[in-house]
Amino acid sequence: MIEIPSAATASPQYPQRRACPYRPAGGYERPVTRVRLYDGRPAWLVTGHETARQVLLDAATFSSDRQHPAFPALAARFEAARAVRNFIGMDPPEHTAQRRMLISGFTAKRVATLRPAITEIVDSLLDEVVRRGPGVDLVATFTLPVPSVVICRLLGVPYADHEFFEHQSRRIAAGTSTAAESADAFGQLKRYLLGLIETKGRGGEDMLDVLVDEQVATGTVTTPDLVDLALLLLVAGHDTTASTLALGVALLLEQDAGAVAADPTRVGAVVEEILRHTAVADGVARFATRDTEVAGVRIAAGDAVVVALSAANRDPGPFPDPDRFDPRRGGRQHVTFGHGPHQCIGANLARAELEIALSRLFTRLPTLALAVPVEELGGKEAGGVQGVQRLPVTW
Amino acid sequence: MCRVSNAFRSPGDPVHVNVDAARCVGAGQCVRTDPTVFGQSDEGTVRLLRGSLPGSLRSVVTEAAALCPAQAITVTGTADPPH
Ligand code: HEM
Ligand code: SF4
Repeated sequence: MIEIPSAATASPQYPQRRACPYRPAGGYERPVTRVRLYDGRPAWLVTGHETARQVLLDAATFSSDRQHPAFPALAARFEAARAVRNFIGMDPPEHTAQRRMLISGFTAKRVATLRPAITEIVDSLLDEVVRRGPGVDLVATFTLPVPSVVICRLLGVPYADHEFFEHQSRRIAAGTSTAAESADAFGQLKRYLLGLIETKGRGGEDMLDVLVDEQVATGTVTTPDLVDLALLLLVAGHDTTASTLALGVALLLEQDAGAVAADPTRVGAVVEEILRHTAVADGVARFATRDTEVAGVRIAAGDAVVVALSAANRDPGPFPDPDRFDPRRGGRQHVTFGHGPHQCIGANLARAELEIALSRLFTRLPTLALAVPVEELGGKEAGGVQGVQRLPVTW
Repeated sequence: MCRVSNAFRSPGDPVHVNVDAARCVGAGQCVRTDPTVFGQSDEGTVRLLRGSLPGSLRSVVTEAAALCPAQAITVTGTADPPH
């Protein structure tokens, strides 16, 4: 049993539900403060930008090992994720060996060659949006399908199966899912991927073909491990990108900045500022492996540490007037994709998807407007990927 | 964090960059920062596309070093002496 000192009972809760879907909740003290997790466990919340980078860089002191009992869960339903062994939940060197197998699939060159395919996917989804007409929900028809179809294409999942994929990964990500529901969705995806991987390899060009030929064939990774890796790519890249896209559209409409996103020379900067603002992975969890000190605060071995990426992105040091949306900041030092050895492997893929999706959307529908006020878009449960439930639009 | 300070160097001095592919985690931040200086091998780890760089690139490679999530890029003031 963890004993909760009385001071901890008075400390604020983390995470908290966002009142506005693209503004972090809390107003926590910087750079490190004491908080209470959903189960009452005390934790250190890291909110300063430089301190966040320092903690995330030091994977030896701040462990990601999800199977360790000291690893903190940010919501009850994430207790189930402890059982899944993926490199996002491992420490170096084991982490790095698994990650190494995948990075060749995400190089800048690979992402650049995917751009025409992404554009094609985006445009055909927009054809359907236009066909359905004003009032259509962009979450269901655009923001969720874009990353799902892209990751299916990258991995080599047949297009016909993308709806199954979307449905199951939605069940995993939804804040309303019970632990049993998300475990069932995991199981269905695993069975499907296992069958798919048996057909892969033999000189094919998709990511799964290459992994089967180069890693499974040489015994570097087993087929069940490859299933878990594919699952990680699928889940980590779907709701995150979809939610950023949906929040980005809402934010641009609120700011009346759609025209800037339609400009191919400026959309890159717009996407960086959207990423900084929205930080859909609001916080990432670690635990201390030894006694240490961070920004003058003493942290004991076994303590829960949560790096609040959303708060670090609003640190007025590197980001003056942090709540202002300003694509001219030109700064890429936001930590929306994390930092250190676990920094998002799909960051450049996500950027390409966001750039293409936003510029095509605002080019084709320059008079786009929200059909309901932002407050009615329905935020997400605290602790999971932040976003909106729906995005009805008119034009 | 220790970063090379440029304050007393004229921008004309050549700048030397070291990359450590063993530390690289392949996030590709550096390639985004300057694709003419940083590339990626087929395995996905960092590769320098040029050796010694003109001083005009100092700020961009310093930015790449600061953004690298794995501290795999280091910037030193001058080029290595010829062997
Ligand atoms: C805007 C979209 C995205 C956001 C905000 C995001 C955010 C993040 C963050 C914060 C981490 C670090 C977690 C930690 O430190 O514990 C991470 C890791 C990861 N992301 Fe993303 N991500 C996005 C898109 C993607 C995409 C498109 C993919 C792949 C297709 C992807 C795959 C991964 C994987 C595999 C990891 C684990 C990396 C590791 O542990 O070494 N993500 N992501
Ligand atoms: S930024 Fe650093 S970790 Fe990322 S590819 Fe370049 S050298 Fe590797």
